[in-house]
Amino acid sequence: MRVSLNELETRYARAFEAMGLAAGLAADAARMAARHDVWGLDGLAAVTDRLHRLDGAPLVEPSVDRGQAAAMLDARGASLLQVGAPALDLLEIEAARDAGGRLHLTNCADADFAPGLAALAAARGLTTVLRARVGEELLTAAVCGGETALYRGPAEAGTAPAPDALELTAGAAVGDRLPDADRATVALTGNLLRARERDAVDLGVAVDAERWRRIYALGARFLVSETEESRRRGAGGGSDRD
Amino acid sequence: MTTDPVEEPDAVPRDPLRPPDTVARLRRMGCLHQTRLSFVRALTRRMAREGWRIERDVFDIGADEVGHARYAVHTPQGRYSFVVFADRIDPQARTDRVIAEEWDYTFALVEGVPDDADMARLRANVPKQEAGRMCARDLVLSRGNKSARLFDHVVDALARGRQPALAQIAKVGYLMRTTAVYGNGKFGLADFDKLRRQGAFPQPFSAQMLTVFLAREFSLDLVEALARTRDPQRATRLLPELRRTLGVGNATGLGMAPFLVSHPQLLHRWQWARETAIARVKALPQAEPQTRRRFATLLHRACSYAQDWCTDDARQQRRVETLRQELATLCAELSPDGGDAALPEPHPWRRLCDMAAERFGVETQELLHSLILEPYPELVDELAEHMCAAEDERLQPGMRVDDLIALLETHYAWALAIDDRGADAATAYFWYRSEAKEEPRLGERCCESGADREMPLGIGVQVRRLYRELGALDAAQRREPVAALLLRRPEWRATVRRVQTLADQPYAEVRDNLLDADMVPVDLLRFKLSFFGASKFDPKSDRWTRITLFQGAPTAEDLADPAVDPDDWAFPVLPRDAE
Repeated sequence: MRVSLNELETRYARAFEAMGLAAGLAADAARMAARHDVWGLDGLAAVTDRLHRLDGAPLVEPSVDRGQAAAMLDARGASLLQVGAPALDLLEIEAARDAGGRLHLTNCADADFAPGLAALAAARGLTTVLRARVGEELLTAAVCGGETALYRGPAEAGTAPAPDALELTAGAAVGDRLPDADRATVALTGNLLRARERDAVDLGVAVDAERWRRIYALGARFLVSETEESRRRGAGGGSDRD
Repeated sequence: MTTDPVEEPDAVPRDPLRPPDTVARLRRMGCLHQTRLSFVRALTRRMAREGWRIERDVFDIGADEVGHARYAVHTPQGRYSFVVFADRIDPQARTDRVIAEEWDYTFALVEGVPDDADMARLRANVPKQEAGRMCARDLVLSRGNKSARLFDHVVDALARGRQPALAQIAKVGYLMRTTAVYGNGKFGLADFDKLRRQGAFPQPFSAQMLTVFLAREFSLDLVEALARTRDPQRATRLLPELRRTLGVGNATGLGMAPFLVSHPQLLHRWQWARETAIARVKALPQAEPQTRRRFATLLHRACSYAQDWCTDDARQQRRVETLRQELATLCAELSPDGGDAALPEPHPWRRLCDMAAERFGVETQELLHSLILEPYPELVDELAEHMCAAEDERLQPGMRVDDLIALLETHYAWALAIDDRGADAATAYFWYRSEAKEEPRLGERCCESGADREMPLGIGVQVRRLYRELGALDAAQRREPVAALLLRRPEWRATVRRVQTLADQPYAEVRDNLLDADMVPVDLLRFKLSFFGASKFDPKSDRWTRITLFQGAPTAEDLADPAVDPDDWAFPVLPRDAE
């Protein structure tokens, strides 16, 4: 089945809120997941496969440490869907420094949602490079001028972030973190991603119907049972006959 | 208080804009009327200007009133089709409520010309409405019921070769009443982003308004077709002036309220455009004789409109009666013989509005604001192009907490004045979605369940609570960036982002507490409906209302007739001599 972008973001947001995220974070997480679907990265499968862990996960307060060379944010095991947007908040502050800024996000689950985080960064107008270790691969997202390019290639020991960690670089400091496109095994260029975004708007986004039903059902936790009284009082009395 | 809150300069001379503390209050929002800027007006102007053609491609509805119809809409930007499915339903199932499951007519506005496969898909889904699935080639999904009070009377009269009774038309005003008009990506429909980028509907709600226009066209064609079927020899058509007089009814419930809260930047643009238009006209040093004549005509028309406007709702009926008296007073003072309006000079419109603010009620004041815009298309109409908004909200994580406090004090004083500590009245209501079609409803916190699943529409109370919490922080925490606060307290993220985004958009918030015991939700509905271009507001409770759209508007046939002014239908009056 196909859903509209509006449906995708709205229903994801309600689902994330139902899972326990604060409304503001749920909206950011929804944009991250939806962008994966738009870009052909199947955010829906990634989210629904992890519901057992995401749904009702305890809310932890990440801890920040402002180091000499970079800021450190310890996610304390939380999902990138939860801590990604707050990490960007800190990065944005770091980026305001003349030399640019860098933030290391550690102990973070679901680092493979880094492309979605890159989409949030693009919407904020940040110039940034996000690098995440996903299995044996390095996932790099380069964001500039509101556009994103994604690269995936082998993770090299010593230079790639540790598992469950992301490195976010912004402003003038991005120069030494730009990916080597020749070494990438998968490259989704800005043009390609833009084309997929246009397709999503023009045609809707293809989703697996069964998985989509699960997202929909999560949002339904906020619905209040229908009673004759709620029908009469909640929506107003008066004759509804012409 | 901000006296001129508009962020962008205006190339046209204008008076200061009215402050949002005056304009964006529920009591006033619930008294607005259609203006030249209303979406139905802007759409109709554009259809006429660009020569849109509407043709009936298929009309296969028999005497049993079952079948389908298809209309083609030719625009310079492309061709669209309006597809209607007509069914017979149990009269007991015919209800205005959004939770209904059956309708007399269901419609879709789609791109291009649907082929057989498209028609089969539409036939399988459109009649199901919310339970069906649409696709991105479909722009709007809607439905309507015939008016039990008028429809059969009109068919009977036409079948006998007569025109329907004017009194009956005056009482109802429409043959069909829509009960929901969906767009913007709902149920798989095209996203507004698609409409904004390509095609004929770049303005918010323009595709929905065209759908309503076409529903009206269909209802007019349907009664004539059924009359012909019933008695082919004697049947006659509706007189053109009666076709124009009949609009489309609409029943609107609380679903509109969350939209206004969740689209604050759109709310700002709409009110900014209207206030700018009013301020431009008020700045004019004088009014030419032909303009005075035009205004007098409109004023007398508004008097007749107010006389025709009846409602069973006691609150609204009191307002209508006051409006009638005050308009009669104005007519007597400004144009007793129907001649040119005797307006004060200089700055006649400013002085007229000032006088109205001193002497008359809010309903009359706002009707006058609508009226003074009518003679000035050159000052007003281009503002309709500025009623869109890029709706992304933007957090400023580096803002210091004490700067956020200052921002709240400057821009949210109305919210900080809410006393929600120990005052049950300030949080008497909660908004929620029912499991019945996710219909937004309003519950009483004291005695109804569901408050644990409350929708976050109480912006004023949220802001008040945020302010109180920030006030309790120590000096070091107040020097921190907002990002640090939100790491500790992520539940404030949505509120902080909203407040920071809207600080320079003073008309973005409804400046009243939407949880307060004294809040009248139908005021929110009337506000939004006035921007659609509704007339004859007829509240059925404090939570839903009936209205009429396109009453007095040109029909599809009129659009091609140079003798018909496509833009002269503000405050429509029943043709008194047509019977």
